[in-house]
Amino acid sequence: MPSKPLMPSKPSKPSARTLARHPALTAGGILVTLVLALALLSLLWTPYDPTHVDAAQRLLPPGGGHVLGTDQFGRDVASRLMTGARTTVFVGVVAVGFAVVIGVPMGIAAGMSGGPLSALLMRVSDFLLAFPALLLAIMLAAVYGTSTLTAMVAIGIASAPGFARVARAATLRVMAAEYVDAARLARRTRAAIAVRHVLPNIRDVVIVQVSVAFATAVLAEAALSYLGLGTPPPTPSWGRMLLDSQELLFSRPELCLWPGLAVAAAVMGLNLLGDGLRDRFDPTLEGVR
Amino acid sequence: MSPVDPVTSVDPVDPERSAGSESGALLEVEGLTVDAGGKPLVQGVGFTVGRGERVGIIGESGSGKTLTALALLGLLGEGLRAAGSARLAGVPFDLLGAGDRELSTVRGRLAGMVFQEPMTALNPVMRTGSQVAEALRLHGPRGERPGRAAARDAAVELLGRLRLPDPARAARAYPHQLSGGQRQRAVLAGALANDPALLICDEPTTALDVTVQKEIVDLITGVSDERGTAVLYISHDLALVASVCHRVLVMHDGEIVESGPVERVLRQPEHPYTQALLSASDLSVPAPRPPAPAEPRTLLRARGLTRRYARPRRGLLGPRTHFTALEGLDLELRAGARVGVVGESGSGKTTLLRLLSGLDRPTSGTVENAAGGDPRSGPGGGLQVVFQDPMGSLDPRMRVRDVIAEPLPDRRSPAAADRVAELLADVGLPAEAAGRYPHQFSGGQRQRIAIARALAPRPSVLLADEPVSALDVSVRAQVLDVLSRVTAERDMALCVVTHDLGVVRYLCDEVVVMREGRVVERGPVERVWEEPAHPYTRQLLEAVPVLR
Amino acid sequence: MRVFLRRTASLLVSAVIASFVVFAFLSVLPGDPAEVVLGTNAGTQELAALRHSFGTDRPLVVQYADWAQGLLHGDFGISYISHDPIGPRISDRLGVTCWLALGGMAVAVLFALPAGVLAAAWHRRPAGALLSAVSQAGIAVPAFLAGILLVYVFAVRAGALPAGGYTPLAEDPAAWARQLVLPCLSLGLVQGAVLTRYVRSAVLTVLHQDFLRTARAKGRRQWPALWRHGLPNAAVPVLTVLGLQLSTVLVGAVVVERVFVIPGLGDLLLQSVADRDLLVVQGVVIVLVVAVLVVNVVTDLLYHLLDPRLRSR
Repeated sequence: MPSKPLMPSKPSKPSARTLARHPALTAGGILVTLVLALALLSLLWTPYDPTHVDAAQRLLPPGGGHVLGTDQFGRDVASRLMTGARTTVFVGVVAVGFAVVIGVPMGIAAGMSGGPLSALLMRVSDFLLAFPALLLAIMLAAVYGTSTLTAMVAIGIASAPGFARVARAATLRVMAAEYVDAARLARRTRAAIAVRHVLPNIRDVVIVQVSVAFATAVLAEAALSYLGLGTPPPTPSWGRMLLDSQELLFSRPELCLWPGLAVAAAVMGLNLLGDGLRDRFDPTLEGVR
Repeated sequence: MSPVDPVTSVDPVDPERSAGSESGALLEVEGLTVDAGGKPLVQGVGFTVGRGERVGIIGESGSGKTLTALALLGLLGEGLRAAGSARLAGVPFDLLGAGDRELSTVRGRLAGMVFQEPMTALNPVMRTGSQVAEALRLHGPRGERPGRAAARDAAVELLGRLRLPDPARAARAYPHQLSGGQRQRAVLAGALANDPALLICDEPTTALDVTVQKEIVDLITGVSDERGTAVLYISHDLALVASVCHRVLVMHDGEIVESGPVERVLRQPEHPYTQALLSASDLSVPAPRPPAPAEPRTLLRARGLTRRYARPRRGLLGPRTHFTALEGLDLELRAGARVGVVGESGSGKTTLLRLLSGLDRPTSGTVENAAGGDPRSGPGGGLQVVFQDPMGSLDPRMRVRDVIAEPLPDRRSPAAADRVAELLADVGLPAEAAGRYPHQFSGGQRQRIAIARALAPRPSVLLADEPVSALDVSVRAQVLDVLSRVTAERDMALCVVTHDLGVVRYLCDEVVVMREGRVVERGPVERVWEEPAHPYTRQLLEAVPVLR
Repeated sequence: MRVFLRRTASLLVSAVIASFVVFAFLSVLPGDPAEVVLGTNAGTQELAALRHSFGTDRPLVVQYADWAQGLLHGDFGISYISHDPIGPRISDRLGVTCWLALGGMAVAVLFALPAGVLAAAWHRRPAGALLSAVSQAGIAVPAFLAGILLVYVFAVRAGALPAGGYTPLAEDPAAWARQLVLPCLSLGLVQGAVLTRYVRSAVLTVLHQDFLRTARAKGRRQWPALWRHGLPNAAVPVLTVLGLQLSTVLVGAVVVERVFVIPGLGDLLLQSVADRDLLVVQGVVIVLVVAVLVVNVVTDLLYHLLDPRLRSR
């Protein structure tokens, strides 16, 4: 067998050719960009006011003035979908950002120090696994009432252990490498080793985990707002739209379709992006969660 | 008598064995080509193996020697395709065109195969004995295959014949409970279970210690002599192949460049590649030595170094047990000295290096560093290390310039840039190398980069941990020469830790032989080679295959 | 055996910590149950009286000890709102949720094992790519959306199955089964898609292992070698995922119960959150958390049983 390089090679700048060779990356990138673009656009412009209720305009079919029609309160579905994207992205960015800020430094610290701290961290993250995002959100909602913030905090706390684990595992691999011994012999401090060697070498793994966690966050946000525990009305969210349209499943099933497709497209885009990045960074990384 | 007696019983009538092909050869390969999606990896390889003959394939990594062997039994990985023809006596079809169903009647019955890595070659969740018995239960006419119990007994017997201590226990053990050598015997038992006419060995001892290597090789040649089993032996080690085989094929870049009887090829190599390979493999003429300094200063002195590691507690309140990696070692390094520390796996040689360099702290004993730093204040300090793995010792995310400048105090200054250029020139690399990343270099070049980094802070002691064991034969001598030259020019002390006696002989004046954490013998290289005092040293020296 | 004891001990510790966390979370943080019941305009004396009858005027440590001690006997306390004992309410609902989770898990496993193995074995063929694509799409669909779609297809369009509701098994087994089909499918198909990817990845890893080649060198054919040597090894990592998934399914059931109007634990939980009946929330959450902890320990033990390398340690 020809020997494979043991270390990931430095990824080159993306070009048309690399994109063609990584269909997952390309498809994921397109879907995610689309969702982001919709969310950003909604900040500046939507076809109609997404929260404007107009009994006269109830349940209009798609076409005409309303591209995707209106819901049972006469609100424009397309506008709500765009604003829903904003809610999803907002919740995802804050929750995942929170998880990265908490999880990654903890993982690096545990991986670099080893011993009791490392064991303690693993215990804590094992323990947190018993509190999935949904359960945390329900507990938070029970105490503080439902809000976007409780949803974000719940999803953030639930995603942090994933980052800690991934960062710890990657850090352990880096710390076992001889180049870290060489850096110690060069009298580099622990902080310098963390910045110069550990961070650049675990970056890829963390980026992949970001896209995985983001996908999970989108799913959790949709579930929470479907249960009425997420972003409260009137702010549109995809999960809430699904709840509202479920009542009309017999008469207007396509109203379920749009928010459903939106959630699926966002999640699939993020998952594909994660897979694509993983393959591009390092084909031997299979199975790192 | 057990129903199956694979190694010693001779069937009175064995149609497979007696029906030879017309030319009388056991294996005839013609125009064997392996390609990966149109990219040829093996091209037009042809050779024969006679009955009972042992043929070696020699080559460096990427030469296509392993692919050739795998192609014969249809075991190539996905995306690889073989073409050409390969006929094995007693097989009515061409091995290279055959499907999985046909080939499965050949594999393990007429031709067995042993692989390089015994640690992963056995199924970790299945008992060793069952894996040997599996080979017995798969072949033979239906209805006559041995039952579970019979096959198990036969497997135990087979393991015993391959000189596995306590074969019944080994058969019940899971692979992780056996040592590397024991696992390789178990793989060998599976390959030999049905008394095949051909045994293909792909670097079967590369991952093993020399003394174990000798035992395995003796087993293979023994079975071959006794049973008339032909052997196709693949290795990068010329001396080893010379000691095993009758005939040798030299492969380079997917082609056979030379073939012939071992004696002839080694004495009168015809092809330039063979000649280069031979001269690179020969480390018997030592590297040029520097003149010894008049009054050598002692740079590093270790006294009574002991290192124990705690084993995990058994249960919550179990007693703490310890494993002693190194016990009571004394060592002195003077300026200009060249000391080789030799030992097999588990001898404590790497632990010693980590203690000397300050990367690890001794449980008891002291390291006095007169080279310009106190190891207790942290590693480094007038002392640098060249590590074993040229892949893992360079940060893949850093440019070579940053790698080499890492030990420099002012690594962004123009002075540092000059120093990097100077060091690159010193180890024989072009100045442009500074702007590239480690993965753009070959193993030998990476090791030069690692040497340049080690020299950067002008240390007076250089420690090297298996500096060439991950490299191909042809670049080994070059890297050793660089090491020798740069340390000689700077009047440095050099301490090489290795399992390879040849490296010590080539590079060092003084040798320390270690076993199980203790020194068993030390002295000048010449003396130890000529009159080894300790039986273990003798055993080691005898186990190393030498080019005749 | 040692592992068994150690895991059980750590399970107990985790459960105690979890109960403490849940209690602290729902009791120390703002929200006085007496105020919830009486409203913010209630007089101080009334509030004090009610607090006394609830026991919430006692020190928190005592409250916790009281609650935790009750838990050990299956006593979850008495609801501040409905004044019913909470234990029986939880145990009634727990059965429903268990059926749902087990059914969902069964669907997931039945779907994912063959799909994952085939996707790995065929990973260079169009069929394998198709299986991967289907599972990729499946992961992207939240369980409640799958539920809505299934209701639309099988209940609205085909009219073949009920769109929701629940009948206890003892009452009418046929109705019970018919009503559980869609909820279990919506939970199971989504989890099955996730599981498929793990099975595929585990089998792919195993496909490239040396020991599979050794087995073939002994004369095993490709598929039997994968079956006998590959799958037992692939099972080890898959098992861990299965454990995690059972936990996910248990919690995911909360959402699916809402879609199909099933009176399970999730329904009780959401109802009590809406009523701010904190003691019930506390009880349901601790039951779910302990269930997840138990599942994790059981998978961990199975993991040790399957892998001899861990067993002998």
